[in-house]
Amino acid sequence: MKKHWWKALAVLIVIYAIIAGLLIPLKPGILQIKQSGINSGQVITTEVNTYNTSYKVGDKVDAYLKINDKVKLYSTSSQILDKAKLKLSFDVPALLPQVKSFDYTLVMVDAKHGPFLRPSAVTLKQERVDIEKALSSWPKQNEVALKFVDGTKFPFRAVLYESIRNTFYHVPMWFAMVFILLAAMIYSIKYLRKPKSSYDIAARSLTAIGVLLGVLGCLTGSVWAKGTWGTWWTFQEIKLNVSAIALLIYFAYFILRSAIQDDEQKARVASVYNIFAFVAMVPLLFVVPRMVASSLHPGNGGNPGFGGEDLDNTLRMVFYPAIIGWTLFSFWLAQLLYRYELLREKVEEEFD
Amino acid sequence: MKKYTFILILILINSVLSAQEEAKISLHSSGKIYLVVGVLITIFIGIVAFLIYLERKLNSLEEQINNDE
Repeated sequence: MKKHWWKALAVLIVIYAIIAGLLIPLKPGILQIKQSGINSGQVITTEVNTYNTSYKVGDKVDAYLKINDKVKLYSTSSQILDKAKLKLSFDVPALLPQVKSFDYTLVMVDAKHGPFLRPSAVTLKQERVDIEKALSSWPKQNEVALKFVDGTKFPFRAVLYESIRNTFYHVPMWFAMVFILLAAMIYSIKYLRKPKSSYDIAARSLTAIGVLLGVLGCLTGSVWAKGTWGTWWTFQEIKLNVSAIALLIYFAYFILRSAIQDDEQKARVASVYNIFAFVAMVPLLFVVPRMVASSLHPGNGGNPGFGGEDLDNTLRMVFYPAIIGWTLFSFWLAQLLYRYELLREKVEEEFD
Repeated sequence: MKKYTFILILILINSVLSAQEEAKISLHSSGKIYLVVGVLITIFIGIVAFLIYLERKLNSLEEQINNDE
């Protein structure tokens, strides 16, 4: 039992990732603004649909359009319709400190939910541009304090919504794949240094599980893409292309193995190829996507993933353990395969 | 035996797919949670596929041992 503690750990962490990943609620958010294009000089009342809110009739909700860092346009009144629907009124001045047409962020704040926003939510249009006059005649309003509420909640992102939770299931497949294939490469090097067949079996088993993880990464990504990007697969997206190439390289590993008759030669050539495959995969997965200007994956044209708004601390709390959990779990699968292959080799030697 | 297993798998896949269709309709308003269900099911099917693969290999190994004895 002592040898197997890491498997129990893997199961516990994966269970944690599934439970915490599914049960922690999303922050409130703004789903839809009925009238999103507004002309200057109008008094308008528009319906706003929100997500994960629990408004009660009579609650006071403040809302404003963020014109720039200093200038805000506050709503003149709000009326709650139900727990996720309210009406906001805006008295838009005739002159706006902007170009003819611009999209503004809508910020809403109340005591129960704290502040939340939707970028590019409302388009304000004006006929004539006079920024100085607009600023001097801007209505004076009292600032509303943005009081945050406590509690762990995942970020609300338009388009993603609840599927942001797939960060804990889709992404760790790729992380686990990289760790597994790294281990496979290490065993391949070990085999070349000392040709013990158990090293070759370990490299082969690890590579098989690595390929399984890669395929699962593609399939789960495909499911996620269908619901958010609207397509199962697109060749416009760099990460999809490079991961497909990386997987093909690893498919070739098994084709190569089956093409060579002599066992020792097979193991040696496969080890060399495995090292090549890993070395080829690293730039494909970690360098090429960073060189491309735009990508649908987070962190386009820069450092993906770990920075900024794409991964906040509440997500990290589940995401990092999920990587460790799925990786350990994958090593368990690889170990089962390894033990089987070892056993088969023994049986074949004995009966031959 | 193989034929029945195949039919059973087809029925299973079909029921999963139709369940997803239903989930799509009823869960859509609650913010695309069906995508998370789909991803988790995909991973589970992947693990099951590995189990089937390993079991078949074990079957042939067992056969080999039993025959040689």
